[in-house]
Amino acid sequence: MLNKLMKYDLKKMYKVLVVFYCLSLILAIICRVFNELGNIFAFRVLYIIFSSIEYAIIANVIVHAFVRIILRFNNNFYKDESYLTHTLPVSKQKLLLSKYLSSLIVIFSSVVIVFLSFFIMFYDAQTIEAISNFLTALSGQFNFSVAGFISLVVVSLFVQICSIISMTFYAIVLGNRANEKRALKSLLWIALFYIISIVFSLLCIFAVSAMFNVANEIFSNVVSGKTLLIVFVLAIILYSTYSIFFYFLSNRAFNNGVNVD
Amino acid sequence: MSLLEIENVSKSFGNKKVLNKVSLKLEKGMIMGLLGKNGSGKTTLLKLINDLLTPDEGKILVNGNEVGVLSKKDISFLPERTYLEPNMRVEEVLNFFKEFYEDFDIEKARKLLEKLDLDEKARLSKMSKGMKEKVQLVLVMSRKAKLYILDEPLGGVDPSTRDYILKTIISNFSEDSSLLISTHLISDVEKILDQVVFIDQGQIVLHEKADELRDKNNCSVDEVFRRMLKC
Repeated sequence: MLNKLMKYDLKKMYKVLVVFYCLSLILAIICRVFNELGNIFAFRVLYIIFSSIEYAIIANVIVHAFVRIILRFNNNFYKDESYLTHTLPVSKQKLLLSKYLSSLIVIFSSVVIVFLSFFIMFYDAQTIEAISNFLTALSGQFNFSVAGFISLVVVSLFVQICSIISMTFYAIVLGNRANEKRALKSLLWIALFYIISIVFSLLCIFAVSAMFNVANEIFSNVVSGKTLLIVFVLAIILYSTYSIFFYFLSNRAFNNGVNVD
Repeated sequence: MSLLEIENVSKSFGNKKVLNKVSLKLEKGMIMGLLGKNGSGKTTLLKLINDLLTPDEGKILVNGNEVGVLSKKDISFLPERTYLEPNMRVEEVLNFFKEFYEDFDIEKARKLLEKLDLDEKARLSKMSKGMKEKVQLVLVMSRKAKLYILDEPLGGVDPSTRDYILKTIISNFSEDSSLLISTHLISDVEKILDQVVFIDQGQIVLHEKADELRDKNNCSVDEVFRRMLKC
């Protein structure tokens, strides 16, 4: 049943996103072609115009993915569609899990498209070497290997996205418990959770760095590898905890019953 | 054991009590009409049975199971609203039902669609509200469920089609199933009802066999309803 639910969730979310994905990739190719012909003035101008459009499309891919995820969750669980969703012979846990998993897939595919678009636009030996040199210098500054540094960044970004999705879903669940102004209340819950999580994370980072006697480094321009590692590891632990914590809260709230409009 | 048992169920929205200690039993093979004015609590009661709302107090059992996955396997629910995604084609909706409901008979659904002049290839967004309601009715009646719950099944349908819809409902549910119809169009449905329940201001004010009610009052159920609830 989970597979079937995810299939319909993904189908619905990708329906519009695929258009932006295609646009992003096609525009990346066009930009690349104009860039290759950049020694001719007209093509240079066209490159500038098309690359501006491409950046807007790339931003739209990410923003649109998040908007689709939120709309899908809200419409499928609390609007007209919910009359079908909640009467399917499927447990509430599976309904919720399908939304989480399909959301992560959508975010992942959107990020891949963004990377792919940049790759098409800018790939050449010189650029790759420049990026490689930059990463080597940056990771070397903190005594990390390049792979280790990239892994830390990717994992911390991934868990942060997971936590944002978890918080947003729980905020929507809470907002829809109200009898009126549900959208506004959901938004207020999102803002509240996000602010609290940021403040709490900063306090935790400060407390832990104080424990390791590196608290003063946090507020200086020179950060050692040890301090950076502490910040990354702590961020990963904290955002993983938020993700799991808010997922369980949503699950519990959802199991206690919905309040369909 | 009754197919549907509702015990002392109450539901409030804010300060407004929409249902107040409602108790009701529906036996197998019965057709029950849940009759009431607009805002009397009919839809709220049906939403509670279908897990779309949670009761503040009381208990609901469907075939001995509390509201949940098992009860949803036994219930085929037609809500008042159009819940189908507008961009889908009718055939996609049929496949969706086939995938999620083990008891969905896709061939029966196709035959019913044909009888109602509904094109399987058509997109729901191109259909009128009445046509979409017919598609939903076909989906609901093509399941071999134990309990069919229909919320205002004739609401958006023109009077000339109402008889046909009622005939479709009656001819497509088996004798060991039960049917709970909520409506305010009493005169249209009363001929098919075995039992009637009048609901007013969140309370059940009458629960009787339709024939007995007619004999006792020497008039139609519709007339009794009008007199009793002073419409």
